[in-house]
Amino acid sequence: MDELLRDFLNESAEQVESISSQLVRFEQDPSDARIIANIFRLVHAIKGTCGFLNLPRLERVAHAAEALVERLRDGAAPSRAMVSLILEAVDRVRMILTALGEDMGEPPGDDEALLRQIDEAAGWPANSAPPDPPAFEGALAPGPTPTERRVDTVRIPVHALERLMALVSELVLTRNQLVDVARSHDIEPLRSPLQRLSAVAADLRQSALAARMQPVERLFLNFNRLVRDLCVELGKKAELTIQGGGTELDRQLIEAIRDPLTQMLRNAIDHGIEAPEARRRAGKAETGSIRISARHQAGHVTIDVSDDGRGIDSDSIRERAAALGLASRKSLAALSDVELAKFVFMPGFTTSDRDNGVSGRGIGLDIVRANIESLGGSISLASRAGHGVKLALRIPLTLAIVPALVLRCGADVFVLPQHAVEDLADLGSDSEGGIVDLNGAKVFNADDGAIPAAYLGQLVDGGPPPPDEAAEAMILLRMRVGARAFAVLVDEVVDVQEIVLKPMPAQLRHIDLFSGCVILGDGSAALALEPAGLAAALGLPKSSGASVQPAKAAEDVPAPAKLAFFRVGDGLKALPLEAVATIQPVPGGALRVAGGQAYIPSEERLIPIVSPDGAPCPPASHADFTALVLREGEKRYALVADEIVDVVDVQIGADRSSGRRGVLGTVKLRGELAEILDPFVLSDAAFEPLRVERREGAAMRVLLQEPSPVLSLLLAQLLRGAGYEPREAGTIRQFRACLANEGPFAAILFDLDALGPKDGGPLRAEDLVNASPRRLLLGLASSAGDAARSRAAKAGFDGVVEKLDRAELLRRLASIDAPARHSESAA
Amino acid sequence: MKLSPAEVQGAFLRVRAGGRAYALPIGHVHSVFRVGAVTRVPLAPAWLAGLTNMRSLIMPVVCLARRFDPAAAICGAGALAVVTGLEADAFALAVDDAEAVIAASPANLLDTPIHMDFEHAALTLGALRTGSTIIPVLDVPKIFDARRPVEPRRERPNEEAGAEHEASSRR
Repeated sequence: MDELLRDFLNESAEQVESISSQLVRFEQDPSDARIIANIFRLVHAIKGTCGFLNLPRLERVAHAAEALVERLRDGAAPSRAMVSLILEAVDRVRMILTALGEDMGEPPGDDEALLRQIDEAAGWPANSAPPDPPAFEGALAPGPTPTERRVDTVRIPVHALERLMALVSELVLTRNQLVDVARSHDIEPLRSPLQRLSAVAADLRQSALAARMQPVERLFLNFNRLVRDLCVELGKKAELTIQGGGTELDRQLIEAIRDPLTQMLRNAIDHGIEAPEARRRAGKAETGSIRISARHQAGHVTIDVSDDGRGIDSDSIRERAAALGLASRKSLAALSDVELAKFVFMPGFTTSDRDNGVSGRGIGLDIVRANIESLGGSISLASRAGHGVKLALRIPLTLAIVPALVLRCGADVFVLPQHAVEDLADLGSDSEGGIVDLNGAKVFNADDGAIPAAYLGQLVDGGPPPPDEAAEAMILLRMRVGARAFAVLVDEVVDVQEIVLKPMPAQLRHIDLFSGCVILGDGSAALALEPAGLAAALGLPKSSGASVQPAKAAEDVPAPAKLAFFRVGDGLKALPLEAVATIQPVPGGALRVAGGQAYIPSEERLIPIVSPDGAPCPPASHADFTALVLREGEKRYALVADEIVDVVDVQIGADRSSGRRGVLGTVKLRGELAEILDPFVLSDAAFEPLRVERREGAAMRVLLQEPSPVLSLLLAQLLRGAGYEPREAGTIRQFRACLANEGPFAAILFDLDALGPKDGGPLRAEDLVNASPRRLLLGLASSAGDAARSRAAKAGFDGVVEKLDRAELLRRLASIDAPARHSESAA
Repeated sequence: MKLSPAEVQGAFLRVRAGGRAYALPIGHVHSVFRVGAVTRVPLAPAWLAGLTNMRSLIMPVVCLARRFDPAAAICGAGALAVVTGLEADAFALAVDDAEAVIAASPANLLDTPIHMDFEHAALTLGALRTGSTIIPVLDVPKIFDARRPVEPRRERPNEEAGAEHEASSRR
């Protein structure tokens, strides 16, 4: 009996789904008599079996629904209320079926209210049983009878299919071994039977895979009901068109895309399709159109969900992205519509102000994207304001067999599903970009930023790093977890194989570096790498997507650094523009060499030449070259550059220090990593190194307001070396906060350019002068010329110093300790 | 005595690993096979030789000798292994030799000596007297237990417990 009941439950579940979707179709097109006949047949089949299995509650509800369907079949007009009532009855049937599946018995419950409503709608007096509809007659004609249907389908448990797949894989492996043996021993008579075996094995594998496939229509048809219910709820009108329902997809995947597709349809109806009135005003048909289509495309299935609603307005994305602080308004203005659409997939992003329970809380599309990506798929969005939105999903045909890279790292072999890899680069042959070692931490210099990288052997095992020369011949695999990109280095990509991923043995599941294990083509076992585990081992915080930062106040955004980029040999270098006096071409013959040091002659002096690593250098050749003439106060010295690349403003993050002498940090210019050189180190190489005397006694606190992060770092290093305690405040907001909360300071160094009225005048001189007790207020200027001096004097400063004039700055600060010396007033 | 009534009545497979004999309750022994190629598992305990493909099932291989003696060499391809556990919990226990199936009477089953090393005692159900020797009866599922994931890579020096086994078997 249990077996019968189970069969009935399985079959009825499908029938109930089918009834719902067909009913919605019938509501849209009442003229199609075949649909209602089909519905009648399905309801009747459920009711009939109920009697046989002694399920009285289910039978009563099904019987009432059948009677109502019969009225429709007999020509009654399908009102929305009537269809809703049948759907409600179908839901009740579904609920009872679910409970039956769990407890093997009908759940207790009262259906009287529902039955009374149905009776009233059907026109029978309340509490009188509806007449038994005559069974089948005529309704049977279009569809196959249940007996016919059972002949060509057999229900198979999923694990039986999975076992079949495993055995087929085993067969393929054995065939491979046989082929190897036949080849190595050159056994001619085996050749032909082996070829047949190969063909059969391939066919068998394909058939086993096909057995897991189901048409997506099974899923799509449910959406008819969803669209109808949402339209009723939101007072909108929309029609769902389905195309390519016959496209087949692994049954596991069909289940996996159910939720993402549901969310996409909700979005389409809630945000996309306008209310009927608004649609009329916009010159559109009152009933919106939603289209869902599926098709095979190069080993993948593409599913498009499109609507003809209001679309997404690029300006409102810009507005929202700016409000969330995801990008500056300036950069947003430059983005194309396609690039803007990507913001829609970020966590917490919504352009809707409403949260109505349907969609609009901004937690929809990021989850949809995460779900689809976890299946090895991708999602994209295209929209035209006023014309609608099209979302395109691209998913693999099956989860059972995935293409994967077979990687070697030392003696270990691992596999990595191909969809996890964003990019693959051969470091040996790839001259573009590369791995940069920053104090032992490897960084891949990618076009879109510096991304952390590590040798796979070190990541999985804490093993030794590869020798440097080996690193050059490695393969770099770029991956992404959420919004975070990272890269791993492996010795070799041995092969690309189609793998059947198996779960990790239970005892080893706590190792989160691996997502499962596989049997490779040669019969050996291998571990499959899990990108999220690798990212965690690399130290990247766990995050499902891009973080949404609160918007920054304009005056809190650090200013960019103005840098001069130039090329010396293979390397791109940069220097703060404040350090550059001139850039001049020098004829090779004009060089003067004295005491092993090369000089460029200028009008009043000889300018010493240094190399970028801070060594004095005589240029090797006497060809013409370009010199960057640098300055520190009155001193001039020069660097030989092969090429001056650019002078640009660059936004530099908070983490600037490289820890290497002579290099302040790294920065990217159009995708290429450049070292920012320390001009003070170069200057010390060109002349006698500046003797910085460390002051004695308690640390003296100096507030340093310098917007360029590079100069601020340089000056802070200098002050620290001289025994001061600098407090860097790059922005006016930070400066104010320091004055208010961390004062008093012995000296304040303030960028003269930050004084008003320039740039809207964020700070007035009086504010500054009266702000805080201090013993010295010095202006910092790019050039301490007369104009700067007079400006500083008017503002009440004690003096002005050129930003990179170390000797003068230290002399001024030292004057605080010598109160006998009268502080110079600005001329 | 931690042995269940079934185990008390049942038979045991006597295996040898690292020069010592152990008894495995026969109910835990599903099959015996020769281990093929073994794939190392990073971050796994040192006594896990790795994973192997046993007739299209991927099986973790635990080296029994190494499980009790950190100084023992890890076993690899070609070792004889006893398959135990079900489905996802299944693993192969690699041994030097599977010697004999011994029928036991309750009189021959002894408690685990109370002075046995704590960690070894946790893997032992009791002791089995066979002829002139006494051999430990292993608590097979505990040898590679999913519910108690083993700290990765924790090596300990060889303690006296192994010697106790030797002593008791010489008695």
